Amino acid sequence: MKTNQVNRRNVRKAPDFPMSGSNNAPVQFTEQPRARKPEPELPYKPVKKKNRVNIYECLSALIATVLLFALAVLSFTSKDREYSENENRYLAQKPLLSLSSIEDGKFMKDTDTYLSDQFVFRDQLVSTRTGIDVFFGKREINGVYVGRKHFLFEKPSEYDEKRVSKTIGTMNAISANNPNVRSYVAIAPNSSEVLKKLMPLNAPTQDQTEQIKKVYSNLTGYTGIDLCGPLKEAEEPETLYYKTDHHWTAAAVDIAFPVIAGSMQLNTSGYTYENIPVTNSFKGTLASSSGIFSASDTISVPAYKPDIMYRVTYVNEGKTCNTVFDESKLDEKSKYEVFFGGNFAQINIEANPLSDRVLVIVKDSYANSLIPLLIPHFKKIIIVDPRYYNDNLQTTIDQEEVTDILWLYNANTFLNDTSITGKLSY
Amino acid sequence: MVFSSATFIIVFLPVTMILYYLLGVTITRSVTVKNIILLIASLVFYAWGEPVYIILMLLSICFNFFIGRDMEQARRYRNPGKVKALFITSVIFNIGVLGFFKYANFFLTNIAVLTGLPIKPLNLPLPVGISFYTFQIMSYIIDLYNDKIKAQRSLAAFALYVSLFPQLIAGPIVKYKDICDQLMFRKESWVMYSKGFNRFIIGLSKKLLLANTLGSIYASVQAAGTAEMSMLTAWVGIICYTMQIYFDFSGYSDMAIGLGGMFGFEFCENFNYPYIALSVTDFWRRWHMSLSSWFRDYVYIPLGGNRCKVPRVIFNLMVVWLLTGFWHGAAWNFVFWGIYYGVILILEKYLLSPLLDKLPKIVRWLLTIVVVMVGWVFFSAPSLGEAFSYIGAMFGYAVSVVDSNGLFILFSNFGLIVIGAICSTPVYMLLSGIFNEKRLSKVILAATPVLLILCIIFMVSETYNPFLYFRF
Repeated sequence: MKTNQVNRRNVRKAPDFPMSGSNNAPVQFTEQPRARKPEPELPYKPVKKKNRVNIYECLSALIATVLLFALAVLSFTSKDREYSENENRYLAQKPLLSLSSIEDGKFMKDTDTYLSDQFVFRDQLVSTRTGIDVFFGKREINGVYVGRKHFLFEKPSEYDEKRVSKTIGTMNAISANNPNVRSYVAIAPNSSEVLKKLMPLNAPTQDQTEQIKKVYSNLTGYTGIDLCGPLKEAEEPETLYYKTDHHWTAAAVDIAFPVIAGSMQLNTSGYTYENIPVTNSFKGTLASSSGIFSASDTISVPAYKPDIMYRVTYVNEGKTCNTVFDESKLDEKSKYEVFFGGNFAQINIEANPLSDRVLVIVKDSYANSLIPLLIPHFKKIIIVDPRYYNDNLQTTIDQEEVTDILWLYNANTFLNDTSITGKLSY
Repeated sequence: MVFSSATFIIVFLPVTMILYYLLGVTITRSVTVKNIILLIASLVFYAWGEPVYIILMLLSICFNFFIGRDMEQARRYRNPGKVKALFITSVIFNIGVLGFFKYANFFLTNIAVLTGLPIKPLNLPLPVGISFYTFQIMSYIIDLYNDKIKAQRSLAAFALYVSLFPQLIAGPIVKYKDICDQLMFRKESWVMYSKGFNRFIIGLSKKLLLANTLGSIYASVQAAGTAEMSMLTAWVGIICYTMQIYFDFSGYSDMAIGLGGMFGFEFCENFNYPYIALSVTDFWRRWHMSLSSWFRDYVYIPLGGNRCKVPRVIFNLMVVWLLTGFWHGAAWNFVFWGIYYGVILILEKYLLSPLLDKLPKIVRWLLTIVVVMVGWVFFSAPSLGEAFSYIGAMFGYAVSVVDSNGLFILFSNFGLIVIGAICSTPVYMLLSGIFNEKRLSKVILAATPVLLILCIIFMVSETYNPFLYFRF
């Protein structure tokens, strides 16, 4: 083994490409440049020059080493977390060691996830990162636009002719099948439309007013309810949307509800309601996706005065109760789910027995905060969310003697939707 | 395992360092122990990502180790026929293994397309690092055949040469002759360690702070598709990719060289600021130097190099560049990318260089960088067709010049692009010209720990993975 020991200094060669091969052959890979100027040297010259002791360099490496070991020790001594509030998911736990999990690489992958999930100061590190990104001018993080005044925006959907025309075809067929049912459609614009001024400079936008108009003009047998105009003309547009979430607020519903009620010819004069703030620490989906948790929002829920009585049935879940609000959700991350406790395939509300109208609402989650206001005006409200609904809508319409259908969506969800075509059999 | 993962940074590296310096350097002071510690660490490192293919690597190591020993023995007994036979066996074995695992799919699909035969592709996953370690092994075998080196007597040392974790996965391609002495004798020092660790952190920063962030910009540009792309978007995208691939690759080389230094090795340099090159020839003197030098030593020169008549030199160059392209990946766009550079280098060599020399520097630089960027389009595009439509977009074919999306991407990432551009140049050298070196090293004192912290911030935040319960 010792035979190979040679004095290194004599043997080692500089990385001399491409001037000469180390076999000293005069052959060159490429033409030799004429009188080459001295090239800029590399920041570290490990080979040619003698290793000079640079005290600062040594010190910085020492600090970095200490830092590295401190991190390692901290990461292993700190207690593992089970759940991440910010990420809304359970964090990876210590993986189990077994022969088979090593063989297929699962153990290694799980360990990688475990170590990064349980990295010490994980949440702080992530928020520092987004801070750095925003500081350096980044205005799109994980598909979320970082706007002015702490507003975060969802990417506006494009109008995909093929997809949307399928949805419209389904909707037209439903209205054609039910000529005696009054059909309404209300598509709410998103914050990127109403608060365009707060979007980051040059961020790609869509003209949702035009998009919605186009949808309405292609629908037959429907009364299209314009929400863009009233929302855009609002006095305080910044109160209409959550800063950290893609939903609209109670203030927007206050504007939208009278417009919808007017189109549907509901007599709202006998009823007054009040918005009651239930939480001011709401950090919504956009905060989660982007990792920017600097702002929080207030959620308000409407309460009728005097109180109204009704009965709510979650059809698939077989659950009944007498309120549409689920206060337990206020202690969780997804606080917007205070309305109805989230999205469900079908919810029936038996409401005002004095009314003779039965309403079907086909909707997305924007509707969840508006529906409570509709309750006193109908005998029965059947809420259908096509993303989860697998039954026959036509059967429901026939059996329940439905008089009205309202399609209530926000523009982004409506334009992206594929479930209306896919699932609603009629 | 990758360098930029929590597993490597907070477990693998500290543990390996403690074992190496405690057991190897301080207690036993034996190069054998040091080698064995590093070998075990390297095998764990490789097996972490490739628990099955490690067998292939070990097989390759053993086979070539014994062939090498036999070759030397045969030479001692003056049996050139046997030396040659062993050499050819080994070359066929190595190229066969590489060809099977890397290129079989490519050939089978192409044969199936050409002949219409119902051949099913094998769909073998590519063993990580196989292109690199096979080339390292071949440098050993070829130099041994040419009697330039002695055969390695220790299997552990040879296995360590092939599998040494700093350069195992992404180079630099260390030739055996450059490192054989270090395998048997090396002296670690605090100076080498600190230079190495600082270099590692610089490499890690290139990877995490620059390459990954720039890469995400290019990914978003590419995902949008060329149909609705403006010229501006196309250029911003390819500029980001150009910087991404440099920081990614040179960052990996920096990390490898740095880690090598931490364990007493000195690897060859792999990059020398390629993007300040004033000609394409110059670019290739600065880009992935260890690969170019491998092809020069083991393909170009054996073919006759440039000591032949012009047509033969052109042939030699085309062979080298075809192989260089093909080495980067088993797909037609890599082949095309290789031919592209072959043709440009030949043109530059025989036709353009007197002309180009008359141009001002800035124009030469601009021409070079555009040629390089167009090259990266072929390199990065999923297929040749998409590469051409991207290049079409870059030069304004059927697209608008500026759109708001392009402006948004540019402004949203302007800071990063400027920083990337500055870091692609030898700015350190410029600074040390302005400030004296001592003052600059004080900056370094603060810089590396800060960079390490930044790296950790970026590394951890990349794993940020919110569960979006209610996108609706």
